[in-house]
Amino acid sequence: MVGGPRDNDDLAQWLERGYTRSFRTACLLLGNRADAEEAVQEAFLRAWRFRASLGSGSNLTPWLYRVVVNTCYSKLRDEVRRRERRSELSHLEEVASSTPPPEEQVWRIDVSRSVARALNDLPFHLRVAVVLRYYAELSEREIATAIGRRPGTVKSRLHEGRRLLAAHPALQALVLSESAPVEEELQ
Amino acid sequence: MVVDEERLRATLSEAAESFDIPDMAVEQVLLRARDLDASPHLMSRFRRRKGETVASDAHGDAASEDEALKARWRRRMLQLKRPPVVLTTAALSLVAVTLILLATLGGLPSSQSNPSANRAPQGLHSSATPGAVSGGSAAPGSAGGVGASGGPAPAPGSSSPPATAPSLPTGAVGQSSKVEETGSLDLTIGKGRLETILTSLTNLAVADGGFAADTATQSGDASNIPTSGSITLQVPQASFDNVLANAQALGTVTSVTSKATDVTGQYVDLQARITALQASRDQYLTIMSKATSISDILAVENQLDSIQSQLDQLQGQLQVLDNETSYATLAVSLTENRSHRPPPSPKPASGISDAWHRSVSGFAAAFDGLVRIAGPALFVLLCLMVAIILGRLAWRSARRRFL
Repeated sequence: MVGGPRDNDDLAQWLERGYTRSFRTACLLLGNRADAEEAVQEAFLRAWRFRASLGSGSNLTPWLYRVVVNTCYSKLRDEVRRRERRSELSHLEEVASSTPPPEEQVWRIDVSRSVARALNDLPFHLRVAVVLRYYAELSEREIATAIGRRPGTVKSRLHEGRRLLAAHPALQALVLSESAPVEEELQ
Repeated sequence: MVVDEERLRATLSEAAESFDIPDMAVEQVLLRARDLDASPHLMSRFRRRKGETVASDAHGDAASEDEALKARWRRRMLQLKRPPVVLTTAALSLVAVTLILLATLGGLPSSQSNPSANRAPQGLHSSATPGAVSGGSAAPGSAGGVGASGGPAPAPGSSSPPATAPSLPTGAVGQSSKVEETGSLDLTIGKGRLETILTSLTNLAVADGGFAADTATQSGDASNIPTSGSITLQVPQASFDNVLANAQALGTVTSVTSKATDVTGQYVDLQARITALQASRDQYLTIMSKATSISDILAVENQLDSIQSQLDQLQGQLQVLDNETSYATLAVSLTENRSHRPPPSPKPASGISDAWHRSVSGFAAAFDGLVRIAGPALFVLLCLMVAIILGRLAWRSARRRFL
């Protein structure tokens, strides 16, 4: 998502290219597929409406993610909280209820379950920083622009997020299980 | 211990890929977006809001066609706008406090001690006595030793009196009040300072456009009678309060009285009689110009002399009354203390020192006012600061928690 759109077609293509990453970012933030879809849809509609003032260049991507994050925040507060944590791992239930996972998807579901649990236990502001940095691949400066904080704040939040994730049992198990084959290979 | 960045990146990517992309989702979004362009009423609503929302922030109001969504956005905007609301409230409170402080400061002069504030309206007696107070009642015509000594209107003797009725004296209608103001002040002063105080009192009167009308000193002896003196000051009425206040500062006040007597009636009466006599004189002058015999001329001349004499007397009284109402009289009695005392305070001896004295007094009064309002103002400011700090902390805490 580098380079700003020049007209409506460019904007459509730009949004189309960025949809997948935006949607999955929202999924990681919310842990809920339906809410993530709504959030991204709302963010994209807003980007379309206000395309005249979007500008171009490197600020466009942080702007879009800022809208996505804010929409996710709104969803999380207004809807997810109302569901009283019923949303946790709901996407996995959807996957499980729709079609039985094939054998090759079992590992991915385990990963998702662990990551979703760990992310869900992170405070939202740390979750945003971690997801935007390590999944959406935004730089610290872009994240700072997206959440309206200083880069130093982003840096400290990233560190805190990684520290909490490392201490989280679900992700720790995942890291250990991932690192085990590597260590075996090294031996 | 922290998670390795590359491993976290890979894990998140792995987890994210488990979320399947909805079929045709982006196409539906874009289709819906393009529908907005084709819907004039929606676009006009967006354009109207665009300038006031998007230009400032991406948190702009969602002009969605979904009313529930709009309601949610309004709630969110209200919550996000909380810090400006807190700051606005704080600013308004600050303005209100400032106005209250200004009003309080504006009210200070009225609360300051002002010698003239205790004085009764003109014509009524007032007294302010720190110690023994001797007051007197207003007695029209008795003040200042000026008696209304004019007799009845002069009869023209053997000649026929002038037929013309005296006209209303000039200034009788709408005559401004004529008030005679007197005061007395008894001071106890330090030993050996009589001459100095007398000079200071004279300077006080002169500085305000007055003069010392009478001065007397009496040397005491070593045993019983202290050295004393008195001075009578004539000062313009407008400066009377100022001179009285400054004179009180020259020593220890043992007694002070002030009296204001309304002599407007007496003044008008004198003017009327003078006018009547002037009319009679004019009549007799006319008669004399027409007299043919020596006896008539002598008779008229006698009357003229008598009228002129009364006229001069009344005019003199009027002049005295005029002076007495223009100048107030302050009689100051000074008694030296038996024991030697240090001078109460350096007193102004010149215009500059007097100005300096007033300046210091004004500074002290202003400082007094400041100290008086400092307590409430400090309390209000502290409350405001606490409210602002708490508001900012709450806002930051909320933001840190969610963003």
